[in-house]
Amino acid sequence: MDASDRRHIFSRFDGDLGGFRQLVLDMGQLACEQVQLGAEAVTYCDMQRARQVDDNYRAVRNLDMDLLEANAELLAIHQPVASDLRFMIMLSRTAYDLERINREATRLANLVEAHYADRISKVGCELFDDVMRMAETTGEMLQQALRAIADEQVQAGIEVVNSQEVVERLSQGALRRLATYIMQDPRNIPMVIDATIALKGLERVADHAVSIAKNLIYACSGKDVRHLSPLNLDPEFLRS
Amino acid sequence: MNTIETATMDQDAVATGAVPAATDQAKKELDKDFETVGQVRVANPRMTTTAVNVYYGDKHAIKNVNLDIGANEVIAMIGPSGCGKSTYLRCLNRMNDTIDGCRVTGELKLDDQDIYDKKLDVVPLRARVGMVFQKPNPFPKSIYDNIAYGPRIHGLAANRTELDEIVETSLRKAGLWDEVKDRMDQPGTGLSGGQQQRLCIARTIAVSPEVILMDEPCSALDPIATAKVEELIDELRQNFTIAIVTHSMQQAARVSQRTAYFHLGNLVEVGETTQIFTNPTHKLTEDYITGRFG
Repeated sequence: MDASDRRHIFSRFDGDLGGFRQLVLDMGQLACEQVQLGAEAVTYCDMQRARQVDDNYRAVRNLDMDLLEANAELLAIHQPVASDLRFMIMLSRTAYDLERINREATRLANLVEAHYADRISKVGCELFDDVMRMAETTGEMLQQALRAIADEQVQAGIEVVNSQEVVERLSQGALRRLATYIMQDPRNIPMVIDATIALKGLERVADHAVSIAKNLIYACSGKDVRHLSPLNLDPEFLRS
Repeated sequence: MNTIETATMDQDAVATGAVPAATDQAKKELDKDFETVGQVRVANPRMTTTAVNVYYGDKHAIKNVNLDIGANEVIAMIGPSGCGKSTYLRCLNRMNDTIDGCRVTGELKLDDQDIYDKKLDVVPLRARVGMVFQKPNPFPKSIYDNIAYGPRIHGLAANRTELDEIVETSLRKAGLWDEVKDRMDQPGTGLSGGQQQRLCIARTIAVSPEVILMDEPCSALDPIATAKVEELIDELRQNFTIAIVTHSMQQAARVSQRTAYFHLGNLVEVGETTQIFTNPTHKLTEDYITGRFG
């Protein structure tokens, strides 16, 4: 059966569900941009980027409210079951994760605003290189998770979950390097603290990307894998 | 509806789009050696059916269905119009015997007793396996006599006092006693639609059935009456086994513990209601309950 054969008998349902999904994907795209902006703001001590993150958060809030309304309407009017119900649950939970990711981006921006005067003379310090590396990795995970939702691809979701160990290794390496900056010069401590806070925030972004992927796996397979170890994510298990 | 109408219904239903035409792949799957997905058998069944086939003349309406009806459970039967769910339901108390040209093969048992045994008297069978129909059909008698009729002819009451007790108990179980106790001599047909349907349920209960068959019992009722009947079904489950045919999937999800999906005479899938409505196994089931047809 091709995609056209999967039309709902009530044509409005497909439109409403598709619209809901698009809202979530739009919020996701915004989240990706926010994380990148926030990381750049911290790395380059850029107040303009930091303010951009704050300004964009208004759009995030509006999307979040639109999503809640669309969610309630879909459930009330269409009472979805089976895969449609799981998909709705997945999209609702994804919206929550994306809102949390946007908050993390806002916290990154706040770091710049709080310590701008202290840091501005030290812009360019390679101490924040790991922050950008982490931002790129978590940003890619988030993009992949969103693509998995758009394409309903379980395998892509599994790959995002498995990427978590890459983030853990990056984080551990970064913390070891940051420790050496403190040992070199105690005056680096404030910046090391900021970098550590930024790294931890980006780790949480990665955790949310993994959460999105696990919810997508649930939506597609009907299996709740949220509390399974990544090693146990066997495609055969998901098909059983 | 007579034999010819029911037999041709699924062709008409397909032609008008009321029921989906199965894809070639689905038809092949359904027609040849089809095996039901899910657990057809249960521990402690009240009724067991094995290799049940029903024919209306040359029309093969039910194809090789195996299914247990568990004791004290509510099992819902869903499927598009003309799929055979009502035909199957009528097999369980031999109501198909009343249809000319209808032939039933296979094994159907109530507590290990073959209900199609030639020596079996169908009248007591239909007391043990009672039926509630889509359109409430109270007798043109008083409310009291509607309930008392069955126990009288089956000799279930030795005297008037016992009969009164049966009538009151049945009406209480049906949740109708408080509404009618002061007008028991008034005609049953004077009640509202929802009350009439509960009267019919009370009438069924009065002869102490083991199984109650319900064929779309709420389709003619408003939402409030529907809710009352559904709550009643949930209470009745404590004492009876109930098989219900319904077009409302939300109703099937609300009232039943197991759900069986029929399609073009085949039992496609049966399972726990929660599983059927959150993660059905067969694609035909998924497509039907999500409203997507091939």
